[in-house]
Amino acid sequence: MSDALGEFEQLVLLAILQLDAGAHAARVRERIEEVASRRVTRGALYATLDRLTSKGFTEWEVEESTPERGGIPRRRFRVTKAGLTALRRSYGALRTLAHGLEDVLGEA
Amino acid sequence: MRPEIDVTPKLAPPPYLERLVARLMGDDASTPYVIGDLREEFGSVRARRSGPIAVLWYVTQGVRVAMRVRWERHGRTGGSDPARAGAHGSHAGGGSHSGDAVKTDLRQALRFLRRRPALSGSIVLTVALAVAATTVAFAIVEAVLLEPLPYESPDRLVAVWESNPRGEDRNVVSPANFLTWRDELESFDAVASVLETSTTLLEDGAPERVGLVQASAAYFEMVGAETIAGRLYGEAEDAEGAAAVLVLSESFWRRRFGADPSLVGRTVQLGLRPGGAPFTIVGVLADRFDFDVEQSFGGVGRHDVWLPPRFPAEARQADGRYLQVVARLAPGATVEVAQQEASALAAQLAQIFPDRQRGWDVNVVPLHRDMVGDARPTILVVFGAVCFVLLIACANVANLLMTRASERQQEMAVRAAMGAGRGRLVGQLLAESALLSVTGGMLGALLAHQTMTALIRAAPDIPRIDEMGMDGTVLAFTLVATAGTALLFGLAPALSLARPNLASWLGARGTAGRREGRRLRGSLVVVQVALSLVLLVGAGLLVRSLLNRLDVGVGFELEHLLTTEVQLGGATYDGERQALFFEELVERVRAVPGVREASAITWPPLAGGGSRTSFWPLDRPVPAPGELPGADVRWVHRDYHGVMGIPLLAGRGFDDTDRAGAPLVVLVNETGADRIWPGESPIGKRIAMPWGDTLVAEVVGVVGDIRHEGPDTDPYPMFYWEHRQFHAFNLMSIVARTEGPESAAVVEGIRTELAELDPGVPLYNVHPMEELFADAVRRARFATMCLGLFALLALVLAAIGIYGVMAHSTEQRSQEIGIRMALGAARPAILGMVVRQGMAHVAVAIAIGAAGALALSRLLGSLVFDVSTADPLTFGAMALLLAATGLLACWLPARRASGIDPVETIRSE
Repeated sequence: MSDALGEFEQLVLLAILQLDAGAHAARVRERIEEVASRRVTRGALYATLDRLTSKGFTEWEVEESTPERGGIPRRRFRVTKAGLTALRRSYGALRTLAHGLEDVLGEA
Repeated sequence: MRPEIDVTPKLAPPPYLERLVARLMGDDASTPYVIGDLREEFGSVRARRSGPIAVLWYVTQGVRVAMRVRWERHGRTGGSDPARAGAHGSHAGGGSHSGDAVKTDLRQALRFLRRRPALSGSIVLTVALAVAATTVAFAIVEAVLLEPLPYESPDRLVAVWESNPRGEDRNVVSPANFLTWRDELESFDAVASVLETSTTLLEDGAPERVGLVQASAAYFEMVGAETIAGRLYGEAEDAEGAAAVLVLSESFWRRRFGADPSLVGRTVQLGLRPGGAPFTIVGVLADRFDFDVEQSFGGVGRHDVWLPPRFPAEARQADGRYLQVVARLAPGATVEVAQQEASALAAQLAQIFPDRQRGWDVNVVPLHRDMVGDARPTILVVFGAVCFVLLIACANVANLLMTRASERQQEMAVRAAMGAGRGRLVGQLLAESALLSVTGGMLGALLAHQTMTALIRAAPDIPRIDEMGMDGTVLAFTLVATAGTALLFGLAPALSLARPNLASWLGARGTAGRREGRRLRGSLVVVQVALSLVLLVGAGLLVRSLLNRLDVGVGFELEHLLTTEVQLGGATYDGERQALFFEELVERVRAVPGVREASAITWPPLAGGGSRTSFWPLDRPVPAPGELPGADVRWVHRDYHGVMGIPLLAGRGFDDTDRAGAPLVVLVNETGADRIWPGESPIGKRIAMPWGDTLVAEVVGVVGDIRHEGPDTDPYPMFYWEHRQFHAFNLMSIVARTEGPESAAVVEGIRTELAELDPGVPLYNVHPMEELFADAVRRARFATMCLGLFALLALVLAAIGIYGVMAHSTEQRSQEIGIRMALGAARPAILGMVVRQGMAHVAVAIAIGAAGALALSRLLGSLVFDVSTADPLTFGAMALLLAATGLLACWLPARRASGIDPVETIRSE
């Protein structure tokens, strides 16, 4: 996996990890909007989830439907081992680069 | 795993939209889950916002998600990521039209259209309106005319009528003939009779008048009828002497018995045989197998109870006609074969029974055509009008695009110079129109959906219209209409613009290409205005027809007139007591507060029922049997004509001396008097009428005509008898002229009086006459409203078209105009020049349009009333209206042109 993670991809992976058992697409979107206070279009999210899954960074399993969904089951996403590795690498690089810049970046 | 979508939750988006989004998203493992997510979110949006807003939300979100996901997948499977492709920015190059190029075209188109929101918005809105209108019209055409009846083998079902010696080919059938057809005709493998009437349900509590259908068991078998509970009655139960059974309709079962499943097997008492054996309920018939009965004999407009008909043996000899007959063609038989066989049989019967069969024939009509036949012209006219609106809208959009295209000539020329082929340029322009029309089309589909719901609620008296909906076929039509629109309005400007006339375009401001564009736009305006005139003329003719209908009236005063039916139970009242009952009831109703006058009649006008029979004037030679003239007959309470406001034209009206035992007298209407005794006074003449016995009566008066079935129908000869002289009727309608609007209190008053006379007799079919009149002109009103609306839309679109072209052309000619003014042309001269030029287009268009309207207005044939389809007044007025609109649309840009400052303009060049 040579692909480096884009910023939005990192956010998505982190949100999935945060939400754990509640990591459904709609919740992931809400969480990112909440925490990162930016607008996330549904299209971008689904496209990214598709991409991450095809790269092997995420996978999903099917959960029971709820009445609001009229019989359609939903997907719960999980970060795979490979995904975790990629996230660690990106995050590591970020942390290394940020080292010594605490004054500039605030209390990071 | 691909989950199946089985349960639809309450707050789900319309299924066709879900299908649309799913299709856009493509076949992928994740698609159904995304649809599920969107459905869930739709639910929460819908819980907070109104339906249309939520649906709009769904469409925008759904399409955006689908597009984005699609792009993403495309990138993975070999295409390039759109974002990256954008960064390369090699748009103009490359003659090949790969998927990449399409994407680039689309993205560029989107960017361009976003920069011009007003223009894009107006185009999208125009397309949306036009697509919505066409879609709704098509949905009507589909549901009413194209979709087969919801029965088993619907194309083998036929309606069988008698055609009478007067040439009316949809006469109801006598039981004798029905039974003969059933036994003799080999072209049919099943023949069923249907009779709509009503009876009183004598169950616990207040007696209720219920709608009754007497239908052969064969009818159920023919349409493949199904029950909700229990069973249907069978062939054996049709026979006389079988146990009395009945079937309830699903809606009556729900309304009256709360869908009680234990009802099957219980017995009920019907007024048909008071005191006789009760009827056993054997089953509940699903509502969708209800039959659209055209001729009602004292029905209540609903079908609550179904009974086997039970013809007694003497029915084979009787000559009364009241049945509607449906049959199924035997395998191998066709409508033509059946018609021939039935006509041959009719000819035989005429020889055997000359007195009741001579001159009568049989008329076999495919059931579907029989049901919707009347509505067909209305629907096709509305559909045609809508297609015209779509064409006009396309012309308009094409004009808008061309106007803009001419501003982009330089951009195109630069691209062409850099090597972009013609195909590539056309592609880009088409991408723009595709984007516009797809957006408009989606908005239009949404609008159409809402309109249909509203339309079904408005119920414009068109059979089967409630079956209309946004199904696959309709959606496919919408797609085709949208795609067609895009091509129609996109191709012309695209081709004209993409013609590689490099030299003139690059040479700052060429004139050759411009002149050509102007000519094309001019002809588009001519087409538009001509089409508008056709629509305006059509609408004008229908408006005049409607006014004529309202104007001709029905021959009596509609205002503050209440009508209600009263039917007595058979056994309790013999002939004389029936007459006394109605006399007494009329007296009591007169005393109800709020009632000014009251009277009674069998079969009041506009209420649907009626009776017609043959007669002959005694001062003429007796015609051969089968050649007797026919007339409508009514039995009335003596004050009837006064209460209704029907004028007495000659002789006297009924009075208290015309009672049982006194010499028989009749009143004749004006049409009857003119036709039977042309040029003579009918007073004192005598007629004979076979009604049971042959009755002979003297004509004592002539009264005004009424139009019994509504303003569309011509008056027919009618005789009025005094009911006490002929007390064979247990059914009469009370007519009451009230002081003010017909109020519930008055109805209650009448109900109380009736209950005091006999608590077992229900009051039903209570209607203000004005309501019945509104029903009678409803279809005419619907057609007029639709066409009027479309014509107005066309007029506005045409005005915008003229204005757009004139404004643009004067703008481009500002230099020329400036020079003219510098050379001494006065402002009024400039104004005149521009207006003249615009009006030349309009004049040509009016000439073409008038010719077109003359050819097409003939199609309105059956819809117009009392006006020629070539009515010069309508043609003139509409041409004038269009010319005035055109003048206004030319004058605005002309005024601006004449306000040009010559010095300024010439300097700027």
